[in-house]
Amino acid sequence: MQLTSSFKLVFLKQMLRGFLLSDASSNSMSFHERKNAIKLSADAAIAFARGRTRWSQGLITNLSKNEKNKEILKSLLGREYDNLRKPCGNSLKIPRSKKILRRCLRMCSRRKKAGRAQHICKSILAKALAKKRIQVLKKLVPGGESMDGFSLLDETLDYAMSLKAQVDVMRRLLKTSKASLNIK
Amino acid sequence: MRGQKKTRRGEKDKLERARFVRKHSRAKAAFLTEAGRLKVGEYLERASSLSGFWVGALEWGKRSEVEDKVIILFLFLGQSKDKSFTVAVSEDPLPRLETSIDMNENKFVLNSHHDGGEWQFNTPAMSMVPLLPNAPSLAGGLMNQITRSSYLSTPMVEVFSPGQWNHHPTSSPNMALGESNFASTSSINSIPVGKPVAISPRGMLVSTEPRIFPTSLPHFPVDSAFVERAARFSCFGSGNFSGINFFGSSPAMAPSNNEGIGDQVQKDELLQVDHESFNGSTMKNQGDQNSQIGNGESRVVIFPEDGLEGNTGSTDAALNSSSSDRGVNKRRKTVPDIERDPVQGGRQSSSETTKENIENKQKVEQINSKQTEKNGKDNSEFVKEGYVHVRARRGQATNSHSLAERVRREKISERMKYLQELVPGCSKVTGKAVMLDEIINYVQSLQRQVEVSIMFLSMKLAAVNPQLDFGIEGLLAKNLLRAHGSSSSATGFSPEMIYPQAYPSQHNLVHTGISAMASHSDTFRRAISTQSTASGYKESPLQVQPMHIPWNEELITQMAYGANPSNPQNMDSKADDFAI
Repeated sequence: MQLTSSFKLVFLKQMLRGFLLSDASSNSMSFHERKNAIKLSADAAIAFARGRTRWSQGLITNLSKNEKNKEILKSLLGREYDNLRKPCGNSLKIPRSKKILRRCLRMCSRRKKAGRAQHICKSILAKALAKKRIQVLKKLVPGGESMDGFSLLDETLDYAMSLKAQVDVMRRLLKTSKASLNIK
Repeated sequence: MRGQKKTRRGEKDKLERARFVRKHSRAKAAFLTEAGRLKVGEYLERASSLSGFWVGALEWGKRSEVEDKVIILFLFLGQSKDKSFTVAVSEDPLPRLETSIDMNENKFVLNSHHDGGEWQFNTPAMSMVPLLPNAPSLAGGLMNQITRSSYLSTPMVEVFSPGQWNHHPTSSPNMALGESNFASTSSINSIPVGKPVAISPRGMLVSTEPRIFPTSLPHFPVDSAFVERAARFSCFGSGNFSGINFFGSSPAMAPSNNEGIGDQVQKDELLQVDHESFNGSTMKNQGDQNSQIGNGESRVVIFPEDGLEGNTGSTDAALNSSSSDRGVNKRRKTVPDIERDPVQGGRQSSSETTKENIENKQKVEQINSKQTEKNGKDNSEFVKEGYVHVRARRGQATNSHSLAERVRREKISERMKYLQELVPGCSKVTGKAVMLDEIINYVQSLQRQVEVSIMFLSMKLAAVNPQLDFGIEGLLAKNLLRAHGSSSSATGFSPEMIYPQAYPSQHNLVHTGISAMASHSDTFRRAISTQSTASGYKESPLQVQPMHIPWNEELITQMAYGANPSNPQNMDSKADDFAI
């Protein structure tokens, strides 16, 4: 839905700007440094292109933890940096809702225990499985720890689409650069 | 012989139905006597005394060849100001005729879906008696129509709101009046509008044409239900049309529900077959019409029975839209709510519950396939508060906690649906855990792809044409290892991983690096294999050297051109963890 070409263009532009800013194409960098620089640019660019979502904010926050990156990020993102850097303001809300959810779960399981014995195992097992996977997902999605069930799924969806766009653009970039090399 | 038998049976059925209807109807409906004949004029007189709602049955002439009676049932919908009526004609087993009686013009327009043609009979609508003499001609006309028709279809009687009355949307494919279709139907009311009139034909006309019955049509075990429905339809309190909410002919659904979901599904299919395109328009009209119902205008809007379908469809739409609205109030005014407003009468509550059952069933089927255990038992109770219209499903408590939980679950399932569409190859997967698994895999694979792209980009950006000494190779390999090490799935070693160990150590890293890359996509393997033997690794060490130099660009090319988003699945299935 968001994988429009304009979105990809924005991303590309920002990424290239990031390359310039971080001086990724210089000879002096080692492999690692260059790689990190590119990664930084790419991530920042995709977060910028996407706008203000939870995962993009989380991403920028993670990237900013490294002091060296901060300046680059600032100059790259400009105004957006502050917006994106702002952590999601719902962190207080989450624990409370978790309590309620837990209470509901307990009630549910109690009710189920009273009623149908054979369903207990299934539901509890299913819940445990789902929980585990949700935890894994939380680690994957940047900024995912502070999200609850629904929004996590939302953000995952968003994030997955942006990743797809990122991969597309980068591959195309590679293709064109390779082609240009051939021409030369 | 056959005709006679059927006649007898049909008569018996008719008799039963007539009796039934007689028992239940409140004299609004005229029903056929055993002989099956009623003068239309009689009807009209009787009916005109009532508040404008007539059910008349008109019997066309007899077919001379066979003793079939063609009975066409009319439902005169209330009286609109402009005195146009829609007469719904149902024939068993087939197709509908809509007739619209335009009182102003004193024309009786018979629309058959078949070709949208109209026969116009210049008879004053109010007195149908003249029709009788015309009946043969009408019948003749119809029969002509029939002969032209090529197929039969379900009898659906549709009555439209006045706005639609003179125009029947030929949305339904069921048109043709088969010649054989003028089987007699006994009970009147039969206007379980839109419900397939599955009355056993009293006699089948001689049909020489091929009949195409919808597979689910013949002889629904619906007859009794149909009759009940018909009866209920006919039980309109005089003047209290606001109480008539034909929407989905929901009162009629209760008996049909008892027949089980199988029938319902059958009907649904049928309905879908016939009215899929129709739902939208009717639903919209419904909203409009229902608001007008309470006017005291005896305008009754009957929607086709796939109002069952449409109802649920619309409610689902409403629910979906509302569930996506995460307002604090959880305010959901579903379509049944809208239509419930003008509804009065105690019967409606049962109809609503049955409607809800159906809706809930549909909702469950559509939205929440995982929660089928919740829909077991008796009727649901629905929350009829002012603001919160979250509907409790069957067998569930309605306290706020469980409601909230249900909302939450529905949200989650909705999102899972979206994600299912996004993640390739997930359409068949149901169940939260497995879906989450797939999603996790997908996201991981995407992240890895990004990593690889970044790697290649970095190599591209390196101004120096990479002289791949082993240091870099090692670095590459280690990078990839690190990247993979964090992944959770470990499906074992791919065969390529084993090969490097067979090689001289100096080339080991190269191969490992290559193989590391290779694990990312099939194109790598292809690239390698194109440059060497199929295994890619069995080449002699001598050949490694020439391969060594161009591999960078070739591989990049291959990867750039070849890799596609469908690879994630492959990537996940291959080994992610490998050791040097």
